[in-house]
Amino acid sequence: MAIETKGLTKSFGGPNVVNDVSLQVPIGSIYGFLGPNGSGKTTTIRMILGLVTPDRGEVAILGAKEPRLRQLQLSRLGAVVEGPGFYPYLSGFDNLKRFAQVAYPAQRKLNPATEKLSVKQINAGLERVGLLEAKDKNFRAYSLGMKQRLAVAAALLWPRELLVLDEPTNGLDPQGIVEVRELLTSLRQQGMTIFISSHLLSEVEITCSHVAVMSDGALLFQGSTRAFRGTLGDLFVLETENSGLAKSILLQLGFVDPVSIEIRQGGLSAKLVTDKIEEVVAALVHGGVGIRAVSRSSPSLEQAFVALTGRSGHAR
Amino acid sequence: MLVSELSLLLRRRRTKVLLAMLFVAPWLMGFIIFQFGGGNGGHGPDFLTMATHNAVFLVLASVSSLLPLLFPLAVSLIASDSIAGEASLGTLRYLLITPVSRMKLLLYKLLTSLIFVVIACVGADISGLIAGVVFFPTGRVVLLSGQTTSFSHGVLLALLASILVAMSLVSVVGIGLAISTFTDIPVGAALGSLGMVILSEILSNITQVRGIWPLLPTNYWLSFADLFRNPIRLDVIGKDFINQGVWLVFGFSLAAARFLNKDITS
Repeated sequence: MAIETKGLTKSFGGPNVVNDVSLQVPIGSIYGFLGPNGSGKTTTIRMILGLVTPDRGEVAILGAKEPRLRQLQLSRLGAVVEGPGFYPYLSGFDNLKRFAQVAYPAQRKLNPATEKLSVKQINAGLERVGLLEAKDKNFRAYSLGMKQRLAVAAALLWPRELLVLDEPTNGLDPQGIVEVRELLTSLRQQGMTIFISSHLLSEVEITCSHVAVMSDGALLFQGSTRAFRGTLGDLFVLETENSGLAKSILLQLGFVDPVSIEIRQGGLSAKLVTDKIEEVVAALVHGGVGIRAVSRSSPSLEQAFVALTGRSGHAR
Repeated sequence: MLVSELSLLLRRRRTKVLLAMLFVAPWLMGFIIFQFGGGNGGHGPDFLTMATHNAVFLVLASVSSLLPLLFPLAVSLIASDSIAGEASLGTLRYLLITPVSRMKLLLYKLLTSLIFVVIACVGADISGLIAGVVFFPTGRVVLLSGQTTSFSHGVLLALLASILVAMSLVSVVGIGLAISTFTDIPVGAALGSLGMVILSEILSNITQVRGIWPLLPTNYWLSFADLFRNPIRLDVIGKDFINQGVWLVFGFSLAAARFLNKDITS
């Protein structure tokens, strides 16, 4: 496992912010860590990175459990935690140089082959996130998107095996989001494990192989993205003038989840509990329902997420 | 890493402004004495009048007037910024997720502040010497104990005095660093640290608490004047050394106890 936690629990003097969270992040995965704002994601990440000490529970990074060993593993990990943090009075380049200088002696101690980062390498890092032209501008003058990209560049300063990104696309324009996504995909192809937290599901949906869902400090789900979608059945959408009749047939034959049926203008939708959609259609036709159109769709992560947490802009 | 810390500190405009203020002050002092003459109302050695006779004493005149407030202000600002400043910028979390240990970071921060103190004191001293030479006569120096010595020896003593002044500010570094680990607001930490210095200076003027005077970090601050005696009196300087050392160790221990276990939520 790239990251493994057991029973992580933390309160800052009040109720538990994180409650008994056990994560398993497989090596090579892109792991989406989802949850509404305030659900305990950032505190969990801070505990993983050793910034916050858990009240109870354990963290292992790349197999190292003991705190001192975990400290060593930090050299194999890059992270963006809760937005960029840089010196406003230094340029983008000098900011990266500063972090390179601070990390170097420790990096070197852990891996004697580590070489001091050259100007060229820092420039290459800036180029990777499209900041080469702005490298001499003070951080203060960067746009939010540029700041965010500089944070990603800092996380990738040294060769990494694991990348932890907390809301990396916050404040990015759609173009920037696409770029980050492409960057993540290419990093994964290089064998990097990526742990990415987000409250926006759509941005995670395309990239993630695994998903965990947090709500109110507790872990509600963890598994592959496919398994996550599978927590909801497929949706069956029927367009017909005979909604009432169709409903009674579907219920009678037990093809759908009774509470999920929604009748609307010119049709109905329901959650399927069977895979055999041919039989469903045949039964409807046989029963005399005039069918205009039938469709079947997998739920989006958003829908699965809402079903799990009961939270979102629109009701289930 | 020390290079990184130092360049970070010295490139900040604020640091430059503070140093400029400390370096300009002796010139202001020299100009005032040059224009209006000496006299200090009778508190301690009258360095101001002495400065009109010899350039070396302008250093002592300016240092003894900077020491109660301007030096502690500058040192408080720098030392309290160590951790709180990084926390307020959001850079602290990024420093700590590099493999560098918290203890090492704290040590380097301490070292950086100490180096700043030396730069500030020696710089102000040299600036004062130059101003002294510009405004006042050079020549043989009359010591506080009455003997005279050569000008170059006087200059050497003035430089040694700046080292002693730097030593006297070590307590402020310790206190500043400790407070710095308790807050994410650097200005608050600086005020807290400066407040401690002012409190110490106030207490050292209240005779009812004479018993605790030897413990106050500011108690032996004018001990550098003892260099200008023949023979040099070392007893008070020695007490200052111990006093400052104890405050530094106390401050650093408190900072370490707090910082090593702190939940970084900034």
